[in-house]
Formats: sequence, C-alpha cells, structure tokens
Amino acid sequence: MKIRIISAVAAVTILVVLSSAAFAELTAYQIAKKAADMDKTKTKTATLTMTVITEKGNKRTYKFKLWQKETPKGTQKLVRFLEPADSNGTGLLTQERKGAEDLQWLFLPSRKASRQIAAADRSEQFMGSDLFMEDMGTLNPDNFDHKLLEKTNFDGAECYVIESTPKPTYNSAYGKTKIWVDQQTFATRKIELYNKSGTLWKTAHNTSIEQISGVWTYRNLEMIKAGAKVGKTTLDLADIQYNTDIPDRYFTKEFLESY
Amino acid sequence: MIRTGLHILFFAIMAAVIAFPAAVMAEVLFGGSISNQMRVRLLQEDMPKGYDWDISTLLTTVDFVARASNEERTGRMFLDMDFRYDPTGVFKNENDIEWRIKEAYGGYYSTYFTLEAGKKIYSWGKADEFNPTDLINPEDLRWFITMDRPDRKIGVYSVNMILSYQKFSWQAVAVPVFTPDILPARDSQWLPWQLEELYQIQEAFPQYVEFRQVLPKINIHNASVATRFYGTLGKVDFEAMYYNGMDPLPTFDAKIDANAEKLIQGGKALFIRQEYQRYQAAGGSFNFTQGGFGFRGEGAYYSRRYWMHDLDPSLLEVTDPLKGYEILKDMQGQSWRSKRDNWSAAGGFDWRKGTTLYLNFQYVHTQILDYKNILIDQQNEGIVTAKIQTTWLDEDLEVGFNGAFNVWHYDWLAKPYVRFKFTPDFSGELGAQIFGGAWDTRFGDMNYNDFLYTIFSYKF
Repeated sequence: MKIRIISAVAAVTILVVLSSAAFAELTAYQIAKKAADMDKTKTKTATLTMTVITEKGNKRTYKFKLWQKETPKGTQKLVRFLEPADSNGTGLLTQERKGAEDLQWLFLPSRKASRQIAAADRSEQFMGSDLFMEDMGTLNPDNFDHKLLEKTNFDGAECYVIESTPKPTYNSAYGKTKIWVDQQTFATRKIELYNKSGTLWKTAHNTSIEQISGVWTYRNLEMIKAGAKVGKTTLDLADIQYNTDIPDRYFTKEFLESY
Repeated sequence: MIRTGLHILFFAIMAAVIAFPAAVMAEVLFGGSISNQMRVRLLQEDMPKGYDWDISTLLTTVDFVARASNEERTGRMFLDMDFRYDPTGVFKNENDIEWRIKEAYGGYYSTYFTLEAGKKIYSWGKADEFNPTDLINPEDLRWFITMDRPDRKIGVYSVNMILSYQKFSWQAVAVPVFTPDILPARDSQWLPWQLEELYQIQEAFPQYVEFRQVLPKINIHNASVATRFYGTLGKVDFEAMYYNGMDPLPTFDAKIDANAEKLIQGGKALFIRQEYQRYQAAGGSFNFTQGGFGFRGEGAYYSRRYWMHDLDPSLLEVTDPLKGYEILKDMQGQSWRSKRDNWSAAGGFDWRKGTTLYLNFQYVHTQILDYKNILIDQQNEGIVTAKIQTTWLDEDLEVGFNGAFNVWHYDWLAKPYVRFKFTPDFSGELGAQIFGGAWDTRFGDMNYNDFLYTIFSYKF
C-alpha cells in the first residue's frame, strides 16, 4: 500500500514538472532560434523575382533561380540570373564555410569562364536594391544578443517582439534589429533594421506566409528605407521546393559554367 | 567545303549521341541580341585644315542562342550563331554579309564525368585579356585587338572530357581538325607592318613571286590536344595545363629559285608559303581573394615556336625587277624564320566597392629566349594594363577606362567609354580607342587608326 502511494505521488510530481516545462516561457534567444530555423531545410529551390523601385520612380525587375543545400561544411548556394536579358545566364556560386570567409565564384556568359570574386561586404547592396548582402543570407542567432521587448498583435497574429544586437565579434551592417515573430508559427512577420547610431534604417515586411511541404515559407518580402516616399524593393518567391534531391555537382564550377 | 562538311557531320552525330539522355528536353531557352557598331576613324596623315572622317566599320550583328537540357541537367545542347553585315568591305564578299556558327555542341554531365562534342569555345587561365595558357581557340584578327578577346575567339570542333572528384578536375580536349586565325585583308587598316612588308614584295614583283597558304592536312599528326588539372586548395583556385598542337598564327617561309632561264620562260623565283607549325606549351594559373581584393597570376613556357626574321630592307626598296632578281640570288639559302623557346606571364589584382567602383591592374611580360637581332619581334615586351569602371544613376550609367602601356617600348592604347542603359535590355555605348608609339611596336603600328565608336545593343 505504502509503495503504491509513493509511486502515485511520484507519477503526479513528474507530470506536474513536465507540464510546467511545456508551459514555461521561451527565452528571447530560443524565439530567435526558432524563427531562424523555421525554413531551414536540407535543400531548397525557388524562383525569385526582385522588383526595385527607386525614389525617382524607375522600376527594374530581376528574376533568378536559387538552389541551396546544407552540408556539414556549410551552406552551398547557386544563383542563376534569368532576367533581364542583359543578365541572363550570369551565375553566382557561394560556398559558406564555417569559421572562415565564404568563397564566391561569378560566371559571365560572355566570358565563358568563372572567376573567384571577393565575398561581398555585408553592407553592400544586392543588385542596387534596398537589400544588403547580409539580408540575402541566413542570420545565425548565435551572433547576436537577444531581448524580449513585448508581445503584441501584428497583421492579425500574436507576435513576440525581439530586439537583437550583434555581438562584438560579428561584423554586421546593422546596429540592432527588431523582429516580430508569430507566436504560433514562429514566422517573422516584420523586421526593423537600425543603423549603428540607433536610427531606423529600413523596414522589411513579410506580407505572404504559407505552409509549403510542412514548412512555413515567406512568399513575399517588401523592404522600404525609412523616409522613402516611392522607393522600395519587393522579393517574390515562386516554384518553391524543399528537401528535393539536388546533386552535389550543382554546386561546382563546372555546373556554374555549363549554361 | 568538304572539310567543313565533314566537320559538321561528324560532330553533329557525336553531339546528338552524347546528349541522348537529353532527348526529351525539359527546358529549351532562346535568346540573343541585335547590335550595331559604328567606328569613325580619325585619319591623321596629310590632314588638311580640319580632320578627315572615315567610317571604317558599320557592323550590324544579329546573334541567336539556343539552350536545351533535360530536367536532371545530365544532357545539354547549346547553339550560338550570328549573322553580320558590314558594308565597309570587311568581309570581302559580294553582299558584305557573313554568318557563322560560333558554338554548337552537346554534352553529357554527371557528378564525376563530363563529355562534350561539337564546336566550342574554351576559356582557360585566370588573367584578364592576355591569357598565356588559353591556347585552344584561334582568333578573328580582322579588327586587330579592338574587339574584346571573347568576341575574337573562333569555336573549334573538339571533344572535351572532364573527370571530377570533390574540388579537383582533370580535363582533356582533342581538336582533330586545325582552324587557323583569320588575318586582316591585304588592304585592311589593321594589317600588321610585318605582313604588310611580305605583301609589298609580292605586289612589287608579281611576275615572279608566288604566295600560297598551306593548311595542315586532316590527319592525326596535325591534331591538337590540351589537358588541364584544376581545382581549389583552401581558398586558392589553381590550374596546370599542357598543350601540344598547331599554332593558329602563321609563319612564312620562302624558297628562292633564282634561275634566269626559268624566269625568262615565265617561271617564279620566289615562293612564299604561309604555313602553320606545331609547338608545345606548359603552364598554370591561380586566383584567390583576400579582403576586398582579388589576386591572380598566369604563365606558360612555349617550346620551339617559329619566329620570323627581319626582311632585307633592300628587297623592299627595289623597283626594278632585274635588280630584285639580283638581290634574291644573293638571298638563296637564307632562312626567313627560326625556332626559339619563349615564355609569357601575367599577374595582377582587382578591387571593387559594391557595384559602383571597380579597379583592375595587371602586368604581362613575354620574352623570346636565345634571342638574335635578326628576329622581327622584340625580345621583351612588358605591358601594364589598367581598367577602371564606375557606375552612376542607379547603375544605369557606366563610365570606364581601359588602358595598356608597354614599359619596354613605350607604345600604348587608351580606351575610354561611357555606357548607358536606356532600358534593362537596350544600351548604348560611346567610346574611343587611341593608339600611340613608334611605328614598329604593337600599338604604335596602329597609330593612324584611332577611332571613335558607338555601339547600340538590344538583348532578348
């Protein structure tokens, strides 16, 4: 009898402890990590259309295809430009290396050869758009210190608002960022990016998020500089596929040059 | 004609067979461009009060590109052809029109093995514009080097095989049939002075000079092979290559038969033959980046290449055929060329700040070994090249300067330009190419060919 009572108490205690853990508040770092890992898959392919509207109202559209694969050594990416015709066939192969500088090769169809180029500065504009090279990559939450500011409703979803500041060892283009993370899906709904003086620089808004193959995916991103009246950059993703078999040879110079 | 027909038939079959996995093409893409280039030459000789203007080039080019591949991208076919029209007489045919297949090949591609066959343009080496190891393709030299090197290259019928493993690859290229460089016509403004002298001899004494081009026969002994081992070690891209093949640039040999009796009967005394010779080359190149800089180097050693001798100037000054005959008699038994080894190396760096500023510097040196003053070419040439590009107006406007300066002989070339994108697909360019230096130097020889140009190009 005594043993049965002790066992029952132990079982209830374990249940209470486990339940408490489930309902414990996530830390700011955990939220940021979940947001960063939201669409982290073994492979990813997509067709991206980037539209850049300058403050003068000039509009430029770029279309490119992305293949991405995670490997033990780092992420490998191949970008092939499709439009405009002037850029058609241009390819950029990136091999991210953990603990070392990324390696990048640029292929120009007119030259019929690729050449290693200096990995872009994180604060460099991507194709003259409002996006920086840092924005085009995947941010590692380990490079930032995170603070939970508040919980609020944005775009009809309950969100955490996390403030992230780069660690001294990480050379970011930004002084800090604020991200609105959906509490249910951990999708990032909005990002405010501040310069090193603490002034708002740009705002990114993910206007279309849906689940594709079980992965919450951003279909559309809009980046607007603070104070811009007309200028903005939009990025639309289509033909998105996850975890398909992308051969390793896609991330070689031979494949980059065979266009 | 038969030679060309055989080329096309053989390689079309090979390309189709190799690309068989792509028989059901998942993706077929078309593209191309239409462009017009006009050059206005600034004649500097015998100028009256103002400049003389001469439209030396009015080239319209329509280029078609077709690409096809299967879904897995294990099979691929590529075609690039263009039609060109120039009424200024560059093509020297009735309609001033030319069409050419620049590239047409098919291939099979897998992780470890690649096989291609057809007409192809190769690009080896990491240096800019001057590539000592890039030897497979001949060039169209009708406009000298005023067209960029990728535009000058002529595709060759070839078989290309690559074996790859991780970050390393070994490539072998076989070119069974020889294709020579296309040289400028005899009355072309781009004819080098060395060739001009040879043609002067023929034109001065046409009655006893025979000039003939001798192409290598189609056989295994006249095939070219090239092999390359390349890859990435750490952050350094490297290549090591070997070439054994025909030099597409001709040399000239002369046979003198100064027999008075034969001459009286209408025979020839001087037989000039335009020939092509085999040589070997070995070299390598590298490229790596550090900070915002890209560094590169390339070099090759060439074995037993033919070099022309300087011609006896008295032969060029003679106007009396009998006097010319006397000089030829004295020249009997003399050689017009000799074999020498030589080497060439290039090294440089580039730096860019986003897409708004790009700087590129390079030094190229060539040296003929075991040099003797009888050679028509200089023993040493060392050229510094510089390229500066900057963009404005949301990258729609590009302003740039390309220059080359020979530090050994002080000849130079300057190419400033402005390019504007009216729309993403339509651009216009205005520029100039200015030459300077002594008449017997590479750039100075073209001193009277300075020109302004415009290029309008639409891509689709």
